[in-house]
Amino acid sequence: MKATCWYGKHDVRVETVPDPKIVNPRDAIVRITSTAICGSDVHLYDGYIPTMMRGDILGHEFMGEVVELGRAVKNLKIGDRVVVPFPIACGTCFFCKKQLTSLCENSNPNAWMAEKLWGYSPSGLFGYSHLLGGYAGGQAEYVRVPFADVGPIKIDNGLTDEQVLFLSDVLPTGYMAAENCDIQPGDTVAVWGCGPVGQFAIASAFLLGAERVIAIDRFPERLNMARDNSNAEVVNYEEVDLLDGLREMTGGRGPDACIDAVGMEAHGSGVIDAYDRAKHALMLETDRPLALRETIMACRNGGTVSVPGVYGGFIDKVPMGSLVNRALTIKTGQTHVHRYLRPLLERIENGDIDPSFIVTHRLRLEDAPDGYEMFTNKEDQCVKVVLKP
Amino acid sequence: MEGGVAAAKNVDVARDAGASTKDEGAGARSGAPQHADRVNVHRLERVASAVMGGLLIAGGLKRGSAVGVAAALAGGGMLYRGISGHCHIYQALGVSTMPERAATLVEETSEPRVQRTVTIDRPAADLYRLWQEPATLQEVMAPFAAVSATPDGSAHWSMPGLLGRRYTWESHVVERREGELLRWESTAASKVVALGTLGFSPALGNRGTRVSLALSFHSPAGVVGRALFKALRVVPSTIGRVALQRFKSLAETGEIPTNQGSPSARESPWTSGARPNGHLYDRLTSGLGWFSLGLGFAELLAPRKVAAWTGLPDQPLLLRALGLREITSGVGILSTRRRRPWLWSRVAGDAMDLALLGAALKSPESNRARVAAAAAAVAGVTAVDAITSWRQGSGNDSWVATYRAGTHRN
Repeated sequence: MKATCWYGKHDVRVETVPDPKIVNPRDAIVRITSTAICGSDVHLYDGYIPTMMRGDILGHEFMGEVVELGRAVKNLKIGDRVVVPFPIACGTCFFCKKQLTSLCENSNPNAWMAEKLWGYSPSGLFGYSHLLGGYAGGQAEYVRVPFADVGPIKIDNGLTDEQVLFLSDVLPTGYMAAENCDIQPGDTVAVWGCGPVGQFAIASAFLLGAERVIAIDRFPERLNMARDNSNAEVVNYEEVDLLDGLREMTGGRGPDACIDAVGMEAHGSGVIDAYDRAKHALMLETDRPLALRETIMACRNGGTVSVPGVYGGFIDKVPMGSLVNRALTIKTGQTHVHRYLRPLLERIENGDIDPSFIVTHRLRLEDAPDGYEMFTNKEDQCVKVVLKP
Repeated sequence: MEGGVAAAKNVDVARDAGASTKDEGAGARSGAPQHADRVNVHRLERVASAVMGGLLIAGGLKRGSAVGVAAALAGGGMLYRGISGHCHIYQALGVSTMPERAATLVEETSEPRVQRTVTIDRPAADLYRLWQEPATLQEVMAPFAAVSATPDGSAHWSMPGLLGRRYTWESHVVERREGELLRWESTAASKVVALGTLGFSPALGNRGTRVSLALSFHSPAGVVGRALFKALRVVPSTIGRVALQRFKSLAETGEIPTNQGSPSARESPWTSGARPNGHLYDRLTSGLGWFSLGLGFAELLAPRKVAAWTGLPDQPLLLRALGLREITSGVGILSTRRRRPWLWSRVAGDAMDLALLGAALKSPESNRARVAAAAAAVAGVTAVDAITSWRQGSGNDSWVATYRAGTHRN
């Protein structure tokens, strides 16, 4: 089959690789009909995530048709149309029972590696480094889905691929980020980063009752998307003093909740940006946390900082004093996608949200390398690339 | 309070595994009691001791007098102490210059031994039964050893070794406490002494069972065996961790999650059972370490013969010095975890050797044909050294070797 393979920093190729096969009784093989490039794939593309190996298959946002089933999978049939969550979860362990499926204790065969970096291991993920399981990803023609009796959700209505594809990651990720803000009537939520996760965090914050949402980015097309689709107020951080502007917009108090939908490769300007880039180049810092620092400094006293953005390692100059003395709450985590599948599918069916608005580019699987380059450099006003095998 | 009780239970398991070595183990296998060659000399001191020892031997032998012989003998003792890491005088005095370690952090102590605990959401009785099903041990240990077990608790183990060799041993269960503890040992006839204890205790708050696995391996021949285990990069804590996780997954999900069979664009995927690339360099590294030791001792103990073989002028003292340099590199490569600097020390040594051989080519005292052949050989070795140094733990790949050795050994 054809698959998008990682070869190193800024080197992604579509190669012919062996077809996946059923290994365990609870596996399924899915023929991919649509798959997307995620912002977190850019961290792999830019070489920020350790334990990638040349030849690894990328991709963790995908959907398709079940073509083969292990003998223990009883709830799916050959031919079912399914969306697959990006974390792999067994459904029976301590964390899965608490619906914290991105913390599944059983799905990462390389848990010991993650333990060395992070203390304990989260669940395994599709196509996201050996640290997180070394599973082949779904930017391919076929994928093996472990614990297929737990993860995939069946789609048997008339919705198009692009309407349901993002249930696999970015829609629930934006939604969980907003849910983590514990939004109360009258609340103002500020969202750093208007990529796909930011767009869905903005939309979800409104769905969950936010009075105002302030969208922050530097690309006009992304800010326009947030304004046109979700009715957000927009701020281009390159044109204003961001913290000062937010203070004025919120009556001198600050946003009730701040969402960092940027993560480890934040862009900025001036001394602090240069500082992070220098430290990163010298391998003294693994991530560049500009957005995180700003969310903390901007948040109102006693408010919540919600972090759906991906961080991998260690960061510097975190304003811990601000966090502690102003009684802020930080909420984080890879998304527990499984618990959002059903309710968010209902939201889509009801017409509360149509996630397809983020798609700007549709490419053939063979053109994945172009998609990566375009998405990473935000060329051609690219917000979301969908690949069709 | 309860945490304390639970912790005490953990230590018990470790003690069980250790105690069996002393009590029954030492009786059955007097050749390999655990404490006899315990490392009690710090790494730096070992290197210093080996170098001093070598100098004393070289100087002593050269002198040839009674004092010289005594010096050489003392040097031999220091050399042994340096290479083995065990000092009998320290042992008699009850002294050790090794850093103290907590009982559960035993990864780098004398014998590879480890204890790990995991919480499994199943009753102890079920887990006790599941472990004893013959297929369980085979599946749980599959990344490290091929195990065939029988329902009565005896098992045949086969672990891959250097140069395609396999280490095999038989084990049998020596203690059973229903739902509480299982203990097994290798049989007296086995060359490898392998002990294991699996302990079960209830987790707090109805969260299932805490399962502790203590494993220890005593290899056949002290230092050699240890070096072998290191060369194989069998990281004992990883074995314990991964084996327990596999057992947990089997108990909780009915299968063992794996990325085996995952397609990729790599030419020889591990899935096919092909030997991974990084592994070759690990083995090459160990090979170079042993080569250093061999050549070093030859130069140290028989400098004249080495001079004759290589066509060099007869300068024993110089060759002995080179020998010591080789031995230091060899000890460094074989006894440390960070092997890369020591590999580069070999490359530097090669450069010295080549410079020397170059000078010798001009000297009328040397046999030029032989020197040229020796230079060609050294140049070849230099290339291997340089490539291995470069590949061993280069950049982002350093985790790969550990990873592969840890979990992907078929």
